[in-house]
Amino acid sequence: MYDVLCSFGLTCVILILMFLITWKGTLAQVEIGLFEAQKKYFDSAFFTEDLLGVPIPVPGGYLLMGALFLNLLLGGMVRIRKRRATAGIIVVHIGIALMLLAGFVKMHHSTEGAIRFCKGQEASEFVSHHEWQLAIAARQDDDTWREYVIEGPRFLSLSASERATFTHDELPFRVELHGFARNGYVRPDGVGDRTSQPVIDGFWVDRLALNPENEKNLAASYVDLIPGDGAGESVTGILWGVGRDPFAAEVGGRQYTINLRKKIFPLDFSFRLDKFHKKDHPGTTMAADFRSWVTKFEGESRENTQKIEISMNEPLRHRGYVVYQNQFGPPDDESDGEFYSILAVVENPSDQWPLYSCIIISIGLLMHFIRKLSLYAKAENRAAETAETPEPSEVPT
Amino acid sequence: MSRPRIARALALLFVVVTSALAGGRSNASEDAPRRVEPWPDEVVDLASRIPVQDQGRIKPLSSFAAFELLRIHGKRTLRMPDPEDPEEEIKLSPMEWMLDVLFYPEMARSYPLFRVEDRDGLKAVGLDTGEKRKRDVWSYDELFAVGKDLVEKGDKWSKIPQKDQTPLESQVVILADNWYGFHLLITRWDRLNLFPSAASDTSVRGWLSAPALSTLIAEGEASGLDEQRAQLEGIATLFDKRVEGMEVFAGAFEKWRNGVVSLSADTDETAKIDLEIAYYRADFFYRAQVLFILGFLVSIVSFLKRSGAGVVPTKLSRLHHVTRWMGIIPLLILIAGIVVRCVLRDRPPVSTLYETILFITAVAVLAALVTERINRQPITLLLAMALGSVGMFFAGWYEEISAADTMPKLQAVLDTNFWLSTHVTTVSMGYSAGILAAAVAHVYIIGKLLGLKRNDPRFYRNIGRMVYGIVCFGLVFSTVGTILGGVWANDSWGRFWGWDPKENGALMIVLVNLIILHARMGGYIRDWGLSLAAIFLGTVVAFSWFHVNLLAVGLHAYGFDARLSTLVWSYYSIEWGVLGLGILGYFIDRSRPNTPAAA
Repeated sequence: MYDVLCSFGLTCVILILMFLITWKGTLAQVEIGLFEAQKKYFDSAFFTEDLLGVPIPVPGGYLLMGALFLNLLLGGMVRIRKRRATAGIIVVHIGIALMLLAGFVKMHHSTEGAIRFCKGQEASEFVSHHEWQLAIAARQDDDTWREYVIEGPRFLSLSASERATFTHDELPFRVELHGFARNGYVRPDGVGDRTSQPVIDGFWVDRLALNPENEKNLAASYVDLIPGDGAGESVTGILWGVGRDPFAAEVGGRQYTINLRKKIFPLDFSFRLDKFHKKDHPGTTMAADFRSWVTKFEGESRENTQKIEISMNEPLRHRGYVVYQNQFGPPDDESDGEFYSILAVVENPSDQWPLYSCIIISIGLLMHFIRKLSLYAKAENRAAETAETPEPSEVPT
Repeated sequence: MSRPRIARALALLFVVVTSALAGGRSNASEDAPRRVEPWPDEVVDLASRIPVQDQGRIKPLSSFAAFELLRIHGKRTLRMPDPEDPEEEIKLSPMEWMLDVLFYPEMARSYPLFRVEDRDGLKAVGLDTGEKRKRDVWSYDELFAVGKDLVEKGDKWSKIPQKDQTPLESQVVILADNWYGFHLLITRWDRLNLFPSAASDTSVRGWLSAPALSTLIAEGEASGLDEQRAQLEGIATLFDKRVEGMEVFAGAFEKWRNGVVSLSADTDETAKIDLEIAYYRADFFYRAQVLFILGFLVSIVSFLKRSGAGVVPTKLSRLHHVTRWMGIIPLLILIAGIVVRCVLRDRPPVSTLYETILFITAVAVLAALVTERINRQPITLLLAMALGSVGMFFAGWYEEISAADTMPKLQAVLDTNFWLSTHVTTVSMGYSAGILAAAVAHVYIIGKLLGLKRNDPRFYRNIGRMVYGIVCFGLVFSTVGTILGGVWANDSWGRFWGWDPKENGALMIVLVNLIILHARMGGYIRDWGLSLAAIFLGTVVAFSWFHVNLLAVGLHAYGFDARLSTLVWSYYSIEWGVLGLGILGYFIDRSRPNTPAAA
């Protein structure tokens, strides 16, 4: 077993499979978009591909990269002969292992999203690009709100006919989602082909096909708030992740709001957008440069402030977060109105690891191949020196 | 007359003049002045050097004219029957054509200019195509009757994604765009931004076309633009001078042109106008192509003349030296062209798809020449010349089919010379190595298939070693380049790897390089397998270089182009054919007695 794990044969098989899934996952993006393709081919341990109508299990990127890590650790670092000729190769393998590790850490321990704000607005949280959550807020006696959150993986895979039930000891009702759509549109009754979808307060949820650009998919669902025994009647509403007002209901004399939204991550500090500037290439609408000037506030008392300029290729790195100038909007606005700025925020413990791995790999490759080139040139020179001597087969007899 | 009325009258002067002379009629006026003698060289030269702002940059009018003609007509010169003597053919350079468009619009509108691939496109907009051929060239006037329908149809069909457009729809979209753009130019000098605005921040207003300046004057917002207004009025004078003969016109034109040029004389924006004109006149890449082809022919002779080519020679023949220089000289010309482009753009050598072709060709030829310096094989010189010829031909072809300025302004995220000079150049060098390895591998496969040098095993061993060396070279650059791309992405977008098609393409090259090297180290392949795998590597480079851009997804989707797609698929087909034959050849070779043909 150890021999197999260390073998060149396994390396070749893993690399060939990685090549194939990369190729397939690239072409699949045309049909299903980047998000779905990444999920299916690259983030998975296994996926199935139909071959003549028969589903064939294929190892996914996650499994292959894990296997590659093990293979190069055992074969390329432990078992390999440690000598001058292999020093460069070992260094390269260390670099690749670090890069694979960086990918693993990023996948499991990073959060990413964006802040979208106009001039003068402040933000102390960022919103995920892809993750969803269901937030139930209860109004407290002192008029504050207490929030209960159900994370997306618990309901995102619901089919149209499935129901998901959620309860919490502090909530006097259970929450039931049904008729869930990962991409939905809430239409007034009488508009569109409703078929059997229920109508709530004159509206219904139209289930749409998934958009290949996952950020454009807006989840929608029917929700039932079903009180415990004798605590009143059920309330049914419609949730839509378009980001406007949440669904509000009163149960047992207390006010609640239910919000289907993109996941929100709090920041350890806050930003205020002081100015956003976009400069076009003259005579075109193509942005030559766009950047934000923000003020960063730290701590409860906000006594620690800092003015910062964030632009393309010049992000802010602070307390484990990296803040990038990502986009601006509204797009193609030709008016003199203010643009809003979109800053991407990433919290990634392995942020700079790829850079370190790049340096290590470069050093290793140079060590190895410069040596190889030098040996090759010497061999050619030797061959030239002996070329005058005919080979035995060429000696006339 | 009150001041506002004078201002308005002045402002509209330009439009009135050009409208009366050129626009608003479907046919050229019979009594309009006609140019009866060729444009004097001095006029053409002076006009070439007029700076205009187009697509975000200041360029010479000659560059604007060249790409306009290429885009509309599909060729770099306009040939047509002489109106005075239909038996004779006249040939107009882009600048001569542009001068006609600007100063003799009555003539230029009847020039056979618009390339129509299939007349059914015109039938679709209601034009009676009469005697015209299926594929023909049409004049502005001939299309004038359906101009409105053409533009409307083109606008409607342009909303269909490029990839989903039928050939007819695609043709109408392009034709409508070209016709309307030309309509604006010939009737109003629109799109020709000649006048630097007085605003200090040109990013706000940029340069102005004649109609835009007229509008500003009409609206009383042209304060500080007196010089510009004087030059605007000068255009009307030029139109008047046309009836007094070319010599008088040339004198007036020089005066007007100097006035226009002086408007931007104090700015840095026009500092590289002369260099750009010199760059296009030098025609580096065409010259390099001609010399590479010559070198290729000579290298064939050199290769055939050498018997026992597998033997590494101690003393090189004179012909070999000559051939070597016939590769070095065009390479130097190619590098000189790339360097001039860098100076013109203030950019590293690779920042557009067009520039990748130049750079990758240069690196591939250089790598082949360095390999030849080590192994002294004539076949390597032959390959260097072949790659140079094909690369330069491809660059010219790509410039022609894209028919757009090859020095465009870059998107904000690309505005970083550090990453362009590290990631992009490095990954491009990886592409070069992949192409070169595939080229060398062809020699092995085809040589074996044709039974060439059957008794010279050293020759094939040398080829195998060359392929191996080049794959190693490719692995270094493609790996480092790909990871650097990730580091750049991490710096700009906050993610090292996003599985974008272009990133995946680069990764696939790295993976194939790794597979080849590990398979060779593991003893699974030898020279045959190495050569077959290198040919496959070439197709993966093509996939990454061009195919992923045609997918219309991701951050590097430059738009679908049917001709490029056809070329890529043709390349795949040929290479897969070679691979198939190669695999067959391997088994035949293995089945021969006394042949140690490990894969």
